Amino acid sequence: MVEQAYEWAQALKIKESEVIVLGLGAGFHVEEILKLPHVKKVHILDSRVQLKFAFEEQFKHLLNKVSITILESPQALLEHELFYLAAKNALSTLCFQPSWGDQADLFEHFYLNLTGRTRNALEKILKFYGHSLEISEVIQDTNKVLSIKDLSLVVDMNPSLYPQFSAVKVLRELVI
Amino acid sequence: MKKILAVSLLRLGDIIQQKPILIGLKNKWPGCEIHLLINKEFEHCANLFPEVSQFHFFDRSELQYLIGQVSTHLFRPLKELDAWIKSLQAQTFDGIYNLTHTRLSAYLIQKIPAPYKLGLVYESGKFQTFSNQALRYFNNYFSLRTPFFFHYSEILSYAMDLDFSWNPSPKKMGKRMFWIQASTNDMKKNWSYGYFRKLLDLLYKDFPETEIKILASPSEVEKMKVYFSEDEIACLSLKEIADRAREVDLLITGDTSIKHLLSMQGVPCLELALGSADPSRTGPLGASALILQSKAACYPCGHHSRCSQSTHVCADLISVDTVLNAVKALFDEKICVLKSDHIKVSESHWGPLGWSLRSVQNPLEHQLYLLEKATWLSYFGRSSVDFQLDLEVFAEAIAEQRILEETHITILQLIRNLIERFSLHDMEQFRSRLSHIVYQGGRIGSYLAVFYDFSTQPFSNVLHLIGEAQKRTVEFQRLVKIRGDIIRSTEKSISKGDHHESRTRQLPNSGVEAFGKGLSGNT
Repeated sequence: MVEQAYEWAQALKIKESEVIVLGLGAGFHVEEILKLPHVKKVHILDSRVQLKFAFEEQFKHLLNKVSITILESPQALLEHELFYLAAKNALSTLCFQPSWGDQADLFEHFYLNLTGRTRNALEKILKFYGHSLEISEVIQDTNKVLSIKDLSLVVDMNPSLYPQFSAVKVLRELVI
Repeated sequence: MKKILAVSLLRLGDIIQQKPILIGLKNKWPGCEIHLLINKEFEHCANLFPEVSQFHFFDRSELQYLIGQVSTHLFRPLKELDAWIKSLQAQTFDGIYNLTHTRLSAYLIQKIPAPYKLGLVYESGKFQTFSNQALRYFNNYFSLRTPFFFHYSEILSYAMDLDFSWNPSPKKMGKRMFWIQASTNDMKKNWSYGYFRKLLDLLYKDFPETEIKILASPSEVEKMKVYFSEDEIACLSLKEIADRAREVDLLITGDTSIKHLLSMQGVPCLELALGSADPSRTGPLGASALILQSKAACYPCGHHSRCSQSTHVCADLISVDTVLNAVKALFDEKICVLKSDHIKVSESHWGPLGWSLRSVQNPLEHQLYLLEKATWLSYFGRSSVDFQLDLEVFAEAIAEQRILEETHITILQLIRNLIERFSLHDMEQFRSRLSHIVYQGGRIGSYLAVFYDFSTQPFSNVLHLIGEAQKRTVEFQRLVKIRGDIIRSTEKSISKGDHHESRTRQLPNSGVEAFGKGLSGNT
């Protein structure tokens, strides 16, 4: 597990100092991420409180660089400060899937919400930026994994988002 | 203006061809500080532009990477881009020149405040380009497969309200060193390594004293070793290539950025224009260049399309012997002996009207080309120059002038019908008939550029369409009139016999007068 965690962390191209890690598992991958040159702070999200206790016991030396959040549903995440921290700083969410155990479905929902890639998450983020919008007319499928194309469409259809998000048009041009 | 941002988010070859525009900016705004925004992948070309005070790099690849990664927050690329834009906003530019005709560049420029902006801009929710006639001509016609009368560097200079500030370096003559740039950035523009191998062997025989090198990027070296020895391959950086240009007596190349770099430094150039290469728009800008183009029916193909043929027809029609003869002809200055049913041979030509491609096989065609160029220059408000037409060309110009005038009458009639009936159905019919006229193409078809966007532009009602049609028709009429005036001025010089009699000694004044009457009756 330690070796697998090492290889996983080494393959990441992280330039940020603060990231979110989804899944606590045995915790070795968190330790490996914190060894990377840029990373100073790791936010961990999991649903299993017993893993939190185990991690705090085993990795005491990392606790000043780690914050652990335990949530049981994707809806709870949308109301949690971790979600808004991710939105405000556009944090990347890293997944070490061997640490997910039998929680894969739940973690996948966490993952999409944390990266702002569900309709509900996008509505919450836009509200966070001061725009209370109903975007179901633009994005009808609640299960759709959103891309920059969808964000661009939402901005196009809602003049109130312009000019705050007008740079989305530049990004849209980078996608075929 | 003291501080100018030029935006050039295109490829390397385009950036190199924009050097005259940067010089033009320096000439127009003496002492100004020029900042150039280019894609980060081309940052290695920065040292080729001493006229630029500071470079800014748009990291397209990094943004694309962030957009493509699902683990990245949806807003992360936006955040990165906003931070980068803020760094540009902090620069406070007096003017922005958009040398890039893409929506991306227009959106970017919208975010950077400046009292003066020129080129494609996005303001008030729409794209705006038409700040001058040259910019509109460039916008409407440069990317079409219709005849075009300006080099990219020229038309972009005029579109940016600049003089075309380029003096080609004098022609060099020598046989010490030949370079071959065998690879282009597009398979369909490549002449095969096998052909280059055969050419090299023949060149060794005919030019035994000459050192010949095949240029290669590091990624091409292994593949090239199948055809060329290590001694023959030169793996040089862009800077090294530029620095060593003075050693080079001839470059044989496809449509490449190296072609632009070296020909602009005066290196004689032989271009094999294949695939989508269009030397009439982006040919070598040097004083001495010969261009071989295939006469394959599919040439030139679309810029973004794949080769539609089972074999590389346009490349195969240019034989190794033809290329060898072209090299010899360049040195013997006997270009006129190059004849082939399969290829078109042209040479770069510099004259009072600027740069042009002159057909070696059909030099009279060049006069008509210059006539159209003079017309457009005058239309752009640039001073034109006097020039002469041979009798044969003069007759053709008059015949074409009649077609243009008849087209003008047809368009007026179409508008009149529309005004009389005033229906939506007629509006569509008008647009359809007009687009038919516009797309008939050809050299004189280019005058209909003023109507080009008519079939795609949305019109809210018939009145709007009629108003726009009348406005464009006035522009078209102006162009046709300018052309007629130029032909008439030519007619006077022919009547006097001051040019042709002295040059051709076969043009009786009486014959010319007959043509003159024809033209007078027509105008």
